[in-house]
Amino acid sequence: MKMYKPATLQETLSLLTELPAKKLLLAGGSDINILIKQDKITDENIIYINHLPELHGIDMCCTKLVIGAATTISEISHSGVIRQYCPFLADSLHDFASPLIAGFATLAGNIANSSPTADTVPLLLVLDARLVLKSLTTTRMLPLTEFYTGYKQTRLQDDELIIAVEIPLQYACRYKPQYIKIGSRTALTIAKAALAFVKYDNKFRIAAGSLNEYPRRLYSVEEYLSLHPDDYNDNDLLNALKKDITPITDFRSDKEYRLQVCFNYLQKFLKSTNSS
Amino acid sequence: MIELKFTLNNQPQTLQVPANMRLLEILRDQLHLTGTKEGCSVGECGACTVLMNKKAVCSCLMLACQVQNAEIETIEYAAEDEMLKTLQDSFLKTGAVQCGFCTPGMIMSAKALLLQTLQPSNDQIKKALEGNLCRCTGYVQIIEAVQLAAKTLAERA
Repeated sequence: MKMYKPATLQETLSLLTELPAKKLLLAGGSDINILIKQDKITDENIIYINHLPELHGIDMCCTKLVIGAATTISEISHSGVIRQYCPFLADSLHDFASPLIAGFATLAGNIANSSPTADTVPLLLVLDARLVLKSLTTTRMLPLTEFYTGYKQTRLQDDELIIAVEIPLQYACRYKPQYIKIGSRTALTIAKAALAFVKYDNKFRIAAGSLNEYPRRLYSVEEYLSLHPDDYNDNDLLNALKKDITPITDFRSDKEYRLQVCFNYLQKFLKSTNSS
Repeated sequence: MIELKFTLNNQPQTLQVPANMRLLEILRDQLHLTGTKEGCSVGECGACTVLMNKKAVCSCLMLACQVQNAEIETIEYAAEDEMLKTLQDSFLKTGAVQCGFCTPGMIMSAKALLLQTLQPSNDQIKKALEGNLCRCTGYVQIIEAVQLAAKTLAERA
């Protein structure tokens, strides 16, 4: 294992191009540092990026929020700008780990770590969030819905770095998305299931965490509901949900419970949207 | 190896350490400050809590390269620091200490809270301490201790 601390963003991007494939970007390190301690990371090159100013800060640019990749979870949940324009995002982070971890764990770290249970991802998926990816020669935008391709697999190229997360404010953001994280306890828990939901212009955006190999949108459910916004029936809704999720049984929960709790919250969110 | 410069309990420090050495080991093994405890080593118990730039963090999850130029405060600073000293006294007065293993971490988390909020509510105290586990006291006395410290500090101010 070799550690690098590039002085600038430009130097970081050069390093990403030059170094061989096995490399890890380290910002907050709330997951990677445990793997280092446990000797599970041995021969990778580690590039430390947390000190790069370009990766920090929260800005409003016209109709979007731009959150620097290495902005911490606490900075987001306490940010005045986020509280004003995206209060449900700030609230959803209240149960992210504990203050001892939320103070240095970063937004892009949570996304790029690609855990199926990544707490920030379901809500960002329904908010149509985009990632700004930069390499030495290119800058591109990638919708978060297209980022994951499999368990711990993403479309991030070897020479790319997530530099920011953008949330457009003109769509879902205006319609109070709902979010639930189900864990064994409130604090410092890893989700057994998570569900984010929003309805706007008779469209539905629904995403789940801990129910697939990566957090993802529930397109079959969304499609069914867009055809039956007011006359959906529970059986068809459940069948659509079963097409979208592949819950497993592990030490944290079992697949039957995960399906049921996801279905219950889906019904609850639908009822609250229809009654308001 | 890197040359690590940081401030520890208001004193400048310069050490030669591997870039991937954890702050917990720097404190306990290099500097022999054993007030900071090692519990789970995965960020779940809070026994290793220290202040980094006035915020409570798990020192088991911080690498040397992340501590460069930071301001670190540990429980040993209670010998000089008014707020830490007051918290320590309050923990003793309310019976918030049994085995004592979680206490340094609890006190550091409590100080981070009081730096933000001088008169915290019960809920704010519970939130601030949610990453610190105690297996002896059941937390009631710990919450009382933080309330007492806040009250004592307010009366003195």
